[in-house]
Amino acid sequence: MSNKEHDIIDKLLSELFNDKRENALHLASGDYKSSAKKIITSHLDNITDETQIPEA
Amino acid sequence: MKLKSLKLKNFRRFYGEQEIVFSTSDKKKITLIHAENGVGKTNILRAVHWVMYGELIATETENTNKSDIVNSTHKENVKNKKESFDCHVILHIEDQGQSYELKRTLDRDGKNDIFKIWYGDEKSVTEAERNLTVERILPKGLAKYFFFQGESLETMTDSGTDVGAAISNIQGIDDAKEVLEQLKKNHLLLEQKFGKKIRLDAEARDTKAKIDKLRESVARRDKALIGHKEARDKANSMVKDCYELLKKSGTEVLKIKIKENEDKTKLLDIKKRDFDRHLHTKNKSIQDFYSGVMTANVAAIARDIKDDLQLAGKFPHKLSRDLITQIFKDKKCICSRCVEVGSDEWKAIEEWNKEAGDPKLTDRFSQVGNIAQDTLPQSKKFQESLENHEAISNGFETDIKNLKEDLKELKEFLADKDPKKAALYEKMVTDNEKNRDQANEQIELLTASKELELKELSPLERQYENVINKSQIPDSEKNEIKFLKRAKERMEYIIESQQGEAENFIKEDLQKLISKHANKSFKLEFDDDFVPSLKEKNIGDSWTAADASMGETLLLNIAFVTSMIEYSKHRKDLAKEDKFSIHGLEAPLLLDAPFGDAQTYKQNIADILVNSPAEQVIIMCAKGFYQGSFEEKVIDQIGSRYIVENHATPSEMKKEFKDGEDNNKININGKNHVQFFVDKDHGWSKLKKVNG
Repeated sequence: MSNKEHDIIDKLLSELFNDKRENALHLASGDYKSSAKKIITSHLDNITDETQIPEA
Repeated sequence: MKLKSLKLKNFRRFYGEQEIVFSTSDKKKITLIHAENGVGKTNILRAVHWVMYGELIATETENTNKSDIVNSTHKENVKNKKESFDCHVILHIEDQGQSYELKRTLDRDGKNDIFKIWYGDEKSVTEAERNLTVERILPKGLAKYFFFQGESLETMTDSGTDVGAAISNIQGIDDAKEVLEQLKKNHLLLEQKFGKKIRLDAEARDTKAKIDKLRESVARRDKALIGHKEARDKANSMVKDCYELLKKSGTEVLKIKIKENEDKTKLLDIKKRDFDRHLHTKNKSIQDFYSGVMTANVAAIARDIKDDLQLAGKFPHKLSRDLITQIFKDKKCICSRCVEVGSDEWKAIEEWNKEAGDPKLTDRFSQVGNIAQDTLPQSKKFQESLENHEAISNGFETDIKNLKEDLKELKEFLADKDPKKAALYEKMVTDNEKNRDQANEQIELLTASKELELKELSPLERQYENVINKSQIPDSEKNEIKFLKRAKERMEYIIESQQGEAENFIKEDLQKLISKHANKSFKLEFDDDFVPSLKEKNIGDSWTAADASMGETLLLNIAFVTSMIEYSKHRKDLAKEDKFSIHGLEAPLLLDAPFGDAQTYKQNIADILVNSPAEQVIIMCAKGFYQGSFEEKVIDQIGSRYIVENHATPSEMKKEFKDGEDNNKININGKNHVQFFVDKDHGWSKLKKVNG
């Protein structure tokens, strides 16, 4: 994968990673799993075509 | 993470409420707390550890329990009802832009405590959540790498310590692994949900690949067929054109004429040969007649007569021939008995006799006539045969004549014609016919192969349609599966590569620090748990562990933690770029540092701390360690400074304080500060902020 192709995946990982850290601090307002799902869904909403997802 | 402030109320030696405000400046990152042994250095560390983790650190020289948390003066005052019980620690922390207030309060009986956290307007509601929050900020297992307890510093990287796990945790690998688990779970759930469809989808893809391959092959054959058909049509057209050319240029006629010429020449030869044969047969018949059918005498007489008459010049050929013809034709003699006297024949004979002047001729002819009479039947037959021969001969002669005339005409026609041109056109026709046949052959082969492929294609297309109908996963789910799979693979790759990278980075960085600061040439080694150790070279090239009492282990441990923080910082810098990078903890270094064994290395340790990538360094040390080379190194980076005074109640102050007054004072920026107002076995500790 080129750097550009990494972007879409890396952005997701960054958000999930930060979410993992932040949710340990904000467990009162929600659990990690549901917030992770929200992040994944929000990224998926931006994907209209399978080809936008980089190949392995 | 940075410590902003620490408030102690009646905690251990600290009576009443005491506060340290730590320096959070980037340029002056050091907070220095001057404290002589026994007045509370370790208690400051204990307070931080207790408020965060609820545990009281024991040292080699001092065991602790919860009841020992409460300041003894306060205890006494509470007992005497002079004060209400209040023992707590409050720690303000800043982590990734978020401020937290952690407060742990001991209950009156000293057995239980209450822990609360505030961040922004919220507070953690359950004990578990509060603990998770602290674990997030700085996991308890890692605290010892950041909050150095001087007395146990040397054992920090003893064998058996799970240094590898600590590195992984400090780097944030554990958090990344949790994210990975989350991705794996989500991916697995989706795969389970659509597992069968995914398999069908894979089958559909395989079938589609086969179909595409066959279609490509059919398309290739179609293309080749077009080529061959074009070649065939071209060849056909060439054949036609060349033939037309042949015709237009007269060469076709020429060709026909040549053939005709050849045929007629052959026929003429045949006719001539047959005619010769016929003449031979005819002559033989005549010969047979004269030698067989007519007697030899008759022949001789007739020949004699003829000769005689010819010699005498009296043989009128015409008459003679007419007579002979008459004789043979009418089958009668010319004697006076046979020829009517006075008839034209008679007159002719008379005339002929008169002319010839030989009266005997008549008789002699008569003799011939008589003989001829005898042979009349044979003569008749011969005559008929001869007539037939004549007719045939005439036929041959006519044919030969006609043929010769034809050939003459042909010869004239061919005289100015070029047979080579005809051959060329003929060859072109033949060649193009060959090309056309070859193209037709290829067309047949390709058509047959194509038919076979189409037969194969048809069931595959039905199969594909069938599978695709069953496999259809909604696009959104398909994307999600693929997206999660890729994210999972990427995270696995990042974790794997980063783990190896961390060890290499730390090894290299630590080696640099040791080489720079150690007084001797040490060999740096790591065991299987990534625990570092220094080996010293002996005489004879053998290596032994470095002497801990010389402070090398302290140097190693501080350098090791520094390298770990350096790596975390390195990752953090990488994470600023677009690509995702796991970034680790950013905790302050808090050193409860008697550094008893580190006198040799105090300058080096100061150097490492000053240049440390840690964003905040809190050092608690005694005057003896601080003054001199250590001070010179750190002075420019001190942002906050406190002295722990050993204070006393007025009643205690009454006691005579006899400790050496010179040693009791510490000079800071030219100003002397008293550290002990009472001997350390009495009184309590008080934090005094000093400038500079």
